[in-house]
Amino acid sequence: MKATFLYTLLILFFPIFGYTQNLTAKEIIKKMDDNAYSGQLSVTMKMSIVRPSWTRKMELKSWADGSDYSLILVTSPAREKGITYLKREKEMWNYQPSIDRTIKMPPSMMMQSWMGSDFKNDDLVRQSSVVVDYTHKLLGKTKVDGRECYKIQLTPLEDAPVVWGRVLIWVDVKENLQLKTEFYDEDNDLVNTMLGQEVKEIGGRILPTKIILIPADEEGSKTIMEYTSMEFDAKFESRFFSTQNMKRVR
Amino acid sequence: MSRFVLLIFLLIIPVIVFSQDTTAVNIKVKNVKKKKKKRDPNKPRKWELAGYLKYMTSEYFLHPPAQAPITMLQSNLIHNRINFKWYINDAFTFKSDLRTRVFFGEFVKLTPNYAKTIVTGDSAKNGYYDYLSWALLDIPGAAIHATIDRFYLQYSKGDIDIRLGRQRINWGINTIWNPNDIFNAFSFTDFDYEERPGSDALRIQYFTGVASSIEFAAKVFTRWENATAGFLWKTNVLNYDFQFLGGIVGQDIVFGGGWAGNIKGAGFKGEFSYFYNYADTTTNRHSFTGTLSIDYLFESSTYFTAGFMYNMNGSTSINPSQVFAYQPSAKNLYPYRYSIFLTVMHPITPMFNAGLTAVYSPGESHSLFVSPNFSYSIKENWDISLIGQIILNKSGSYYVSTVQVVFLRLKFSF
Repeated sequence: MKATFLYTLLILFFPIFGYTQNLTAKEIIKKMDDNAYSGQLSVTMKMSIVRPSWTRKMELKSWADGSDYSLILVTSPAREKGITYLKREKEMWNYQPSIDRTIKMPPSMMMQSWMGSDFKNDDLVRQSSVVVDYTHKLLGKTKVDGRECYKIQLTPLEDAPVVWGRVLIWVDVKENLQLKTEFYDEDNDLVNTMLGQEVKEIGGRILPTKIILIPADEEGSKTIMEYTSMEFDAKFESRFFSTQNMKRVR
Repeated sequence: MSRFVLLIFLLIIPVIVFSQDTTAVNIKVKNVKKKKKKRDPNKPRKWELAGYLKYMTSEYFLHPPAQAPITMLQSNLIHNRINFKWYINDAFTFKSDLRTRVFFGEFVKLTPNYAKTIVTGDSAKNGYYDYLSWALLDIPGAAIHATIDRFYLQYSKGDIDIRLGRQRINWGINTIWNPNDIFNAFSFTDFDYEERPGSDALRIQYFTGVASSIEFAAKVFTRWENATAGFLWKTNVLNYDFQFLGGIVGQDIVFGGGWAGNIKGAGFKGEFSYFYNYADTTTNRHSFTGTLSIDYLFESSTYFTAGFMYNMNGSTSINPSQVFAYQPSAKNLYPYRYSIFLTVMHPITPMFNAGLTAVYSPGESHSLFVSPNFSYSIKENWDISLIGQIILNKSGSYYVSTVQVVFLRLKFSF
C-alpha cells in the first residue's frame, strides 16, 4: 500500500519534475518575459535620470499589447507633459501637443537614448524580443541578492534588430524574475548593467518594481525606473494603438 | 440623592445619544471626505492648466550697405503662455490658450504702435477684425500685446473628431517646409512661436484605420478671396504614411500630397503642392512648391536633417534681408526659388544641446542663412537657450553679412 502510494505520487509528479529539470534556457527566458510583459499591459512609472552633477525626474504612463504595440505618455515634468510615442510593429510616431503634430520617426531613433536616459527607445517600446531575437544558453546557477538564479547567455541572431554582442540574464528560479542583466557590445565589453529590485506583488503578479540601469563606463550615472502601478488584464479597444488615440490618451 | 442622580442620568442620556449620533455622523462625513481625497492617483483630472514664462533678450546688428556705422538694437520680451483644457465629459473638450507678450527696448522704440501693428497683422491674416488680439499698451519703448490663439470645442467619439473654433490645423508632414500647411503657413525663422497662430475654423476628422483618416477643414471667411477649405486623406501603406489634399486657398485651387517613410534607418519625407489661380488673368496662373528631406540619428546621438525646396514663386535675385521681411504662405514658404537646408544637432551632454541650421539659396546673391543654437536644461522646468541668426550673401568673391541677430532666452514651464 505504502509503495503503491509512493509510486502513484511519483508518476503524478514525474512529468512536472522532469519538465522543470529539462526547462531549456529559451523556456526560462520566455517564462520570465511572459511573467513581466505578456498580455495587455497598462503601467504608470517614475523615471529618474541620475548623473554625478544632476538628477532629472519624469513620470510616464504606458500601454502595451505584447511587444508589437505600445503607447507611452509623458505626464511630468510640465515641459514634456502630453508628449506621446506610438509604436506599431516596425513603425514609430511621436506626437507633440504644443504644435499639435504627429511626426513619423526614422528607425534610427529606435536605438537611441530615450529622453536623455540610459534607456534606449527600443527598451521602452520593445522593438526587439529577448525570446525571438536571440539564441539562449544556460550557463549555470548563481545567487543574486540572496535569490537563486539561472544564469543565461543570449546571443543575437544575425539579422535581429539588436545592438548588443551578447546579453547575460540572471533569472530567479522560483518566480521567473529578471533580477540582473548585463549587456555587452560586439567587442565583448560590458556596456550596461540592469538590476531588478524591490520584488513585490504588483498588478497580481510578483515582479521587481524598481529597475536600475547602470552604464559601465560612466561613474555615478544611472537611470531608475519605478513602477507605481501595473495592470495586466487591461482591455484595449481595437484602435487603441492608433495615431488618433495618441492625441486622446491621458 | 437618587432622584438627583436619575435626573442627571436623564439629562445626560439624550446628550450621550445625541453626541453618539453626531460622532457617527462625523465619522461618516470624515470617511466620505477621506474617500474623496483618496481618488485614484492615475485617474486624470477634469481640467488642465499649463504654460510657460519666458524672458528673451535680443540684439540686432544691422550693417548698412555703405560705410555707415553698424546699428545695434536691443530688444526685450517677456512672454507668458497659459494653456487651459477642460475635459467636459468623455466626448467634449474645451481648450483656450492665452499668449501675452511684453516688449521693451530700442527695437520697440523705433516702431510706434508696436502692439497695434500686431493686432492689424492678425486681422489682416484673418481677413476680418481679430477680436481676440489686444493691444494693451503702446508707449514709446514699450508695448503689451495679448491674444487668445486657441479657443475651441472638440467632440471626439469613436472614429470621429470634430473641432470648432480657433485652432491650429497642421497639415504638414515634412520637417522644415510644409507646402501642405495651407491653413497656418509660418516662417521657420520665427522660432519663438512654436505653437503657431490659430485659424477660426471647423475641422472634421474621420479615422478609417490606425494610421489613416479622411478630413475636411474650412476657415471662417467674410469674402471669397479670403476663403481656405480643403480635404485631406491620410493613409499608411508599406510602412509609409501618405497624404493627399485638395481645396481652395483664396483665389487658388490647390492639390498636394506628401509622404513620410524610411530608407534603411533614415527618415525619408516629401511634400508638394500645386496651385492654380483662377482669378489671375496674366500668365502667372500656376505655381508649384515641392520639398524633399532625409533625417538620421547617428549612434553618437547626432541628429542630421538635409533637404531641398523648389518654390516656383520664389526669386533668384532678391535681396537676402527678405528672409525676415516676407509674408510666408503655403504658396511661398521662403523667398527664394531653390533652397537647400541642413540641420545638425548634437547633445554635448544630455542637458546641453548644440545645433546648427544652414539654408543656402543659389541665385544672384547666393543667400545663406545660418542659425547656430545652444540650449541647456538647468532643471526639470528651466531652460536657457542662445540662438543666432546670421544672413550672408555673396558680394564679389566674398561673403558678407548685413544682418545678425542674437537671442538669449530663459524659459520656465509650469
